[in-house]
Amino acid sequence: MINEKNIIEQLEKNLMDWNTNPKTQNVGYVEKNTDGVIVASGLSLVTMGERVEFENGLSGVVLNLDEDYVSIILLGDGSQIKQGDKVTRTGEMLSINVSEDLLGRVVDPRGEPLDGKAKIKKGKLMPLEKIAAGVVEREPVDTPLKTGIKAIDAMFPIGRGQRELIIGDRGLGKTAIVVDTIINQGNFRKSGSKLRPVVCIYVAIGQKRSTIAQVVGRLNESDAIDYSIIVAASSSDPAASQYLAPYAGAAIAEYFLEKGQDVLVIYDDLTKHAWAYRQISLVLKRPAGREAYPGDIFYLHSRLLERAVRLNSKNGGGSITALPIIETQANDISAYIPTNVISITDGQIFLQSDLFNSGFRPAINVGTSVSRVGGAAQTGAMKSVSGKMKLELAQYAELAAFSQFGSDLDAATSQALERGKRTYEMLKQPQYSPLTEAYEILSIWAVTNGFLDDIKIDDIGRFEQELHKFVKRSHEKLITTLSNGEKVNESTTKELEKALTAFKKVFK
Amino acid sequence: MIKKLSEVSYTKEKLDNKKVKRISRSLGREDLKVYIKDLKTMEAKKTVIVTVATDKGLTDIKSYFNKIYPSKRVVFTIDESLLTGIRVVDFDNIYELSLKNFLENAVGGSLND
Repeated sequence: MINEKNIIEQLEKNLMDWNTNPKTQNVGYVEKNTDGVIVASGLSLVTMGERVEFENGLSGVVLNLDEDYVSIILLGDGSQIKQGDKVTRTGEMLSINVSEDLLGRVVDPRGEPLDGKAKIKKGKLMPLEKIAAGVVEREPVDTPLKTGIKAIDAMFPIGRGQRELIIGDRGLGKTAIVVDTIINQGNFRKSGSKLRPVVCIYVAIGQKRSTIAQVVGRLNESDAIDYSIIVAASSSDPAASQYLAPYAGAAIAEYFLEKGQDVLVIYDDLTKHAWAYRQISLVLKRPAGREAYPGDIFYLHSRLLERAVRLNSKNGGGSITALPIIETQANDISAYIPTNVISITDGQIFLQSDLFNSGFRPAINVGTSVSRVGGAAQTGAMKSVSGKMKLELAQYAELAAFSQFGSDLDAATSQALERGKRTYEMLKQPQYSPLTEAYEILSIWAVTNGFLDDIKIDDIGRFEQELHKFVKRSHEKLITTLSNGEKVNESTTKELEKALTAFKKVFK
Repeated sequence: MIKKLSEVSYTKEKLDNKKVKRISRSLGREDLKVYIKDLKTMEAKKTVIVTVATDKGLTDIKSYFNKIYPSKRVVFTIDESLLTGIRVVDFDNIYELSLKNFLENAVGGSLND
């Protein structure tokens, strides 16, 4: 509450700075209000993407400029807006208030809290739309961003500043992968690594509120919420809100990037984002193209994902890693939006329903998944063990197809098949249990060096769990060595052999 | 098309009654609505509304604004709520230099802080 003295002081201050120039306003009047899109006359000076204000305080964004009219998408409930209402231009592009205060919070794309907690303190206004960093400011991806998922960290490593697509049908664990990745950043913080901790931003687009609540709950349970921000535009929110959500996420990420921090942004999912944009475009009467999407649907996603960046040290050295998610129909990755996003990103992790149904989880299809730049970010230690595994899996895939004919197999082929089966079994990982790199290397090294060849396939999960406990208990130094990230040398190999042999003696 | 019709409805910058009647007779109900709307917009574009707080010195103000907007129809109104000062509405642009506006901003600024 401000007192009388403050009011008078403020008035006096304003009087001192009184600008004698007249106040100028460019206004328009509402002509039509249809499906959250306002058509207004006037506003002759307004620019594309500018924020405008209605008489009742509601804001909107200009998306179409016609000869006599402008089309505005509403950022809120437009049921109160009627024909003839005044609209005023603000001269500002749409932006979001960002501060450290946002960490641990759930907000909407305008930065308004959705978690019932206190109002977000005033910070910096970050524009939702921004041209991505140029070539000169960038640096190649060379630092790993650990997901804690063996299959990904070993075969499709993600680097800081990379854009890695997660694609698959509904219910195959796409969100589970990204939630695990967020949780793993907490483990990473605790491990005392030399690498910078990562701020995580989860953008929910067009999802059920119950799903968003589940993710928030999961992050809360694992204390991952402390370094995370959730931007939510649920399926019941207006299409405009869903359209703006990923840009709000990118704007928040850029705030931390400016401070030289590493940020992970998850867009869950861009299929629904494309749907929201299609809806808006159809209401705006923009020409419809393939699958009724507008012509600029590619640019919609490319300009968003291009904001993922690894800056050079001159520009602060921060990074934004983007993990967009795309939902496919019947495993069809050749549909319009999936192919668009595949071509924009630096690789994709493809989840397949038959793998999921056969119990292979995470259901990553090793053949169609790829990471185009992450290899450079992989540590020497992981590289030295994962190369052999990839080769063995490729051999297994070929031999498995061949062995379908049922002919007699020679010993080497049978062994390769058995090894492959065990490798696949070892790559299975339960949800919400990300592993540190040392344990990932331990498991992969064990399987690729034949220590699991005589273990029954059904026992592999148990073997792995007990092995981790055993090594943690009696070979702690080995874990420290593997955590260094240096290539597995002779002495480490001996240590590994020693630990595995000792463990196999006690494993029943 | 309708926009062109509304443009040709003017003779020497003034709305021509004969032309308007002839055009409106040939238009259907929907087109007529658009035509009326366009005419209203064109009229609004050709009109400048000047609002002052009192009629003191109105003659000088009138001659001044007629000089500034020679091709537009200048309408003068009085609104005491301005307290002192002037407001000019030129289609979708509003220029305001009034005590009312200053006080509103000053108090609004204080309350927002």
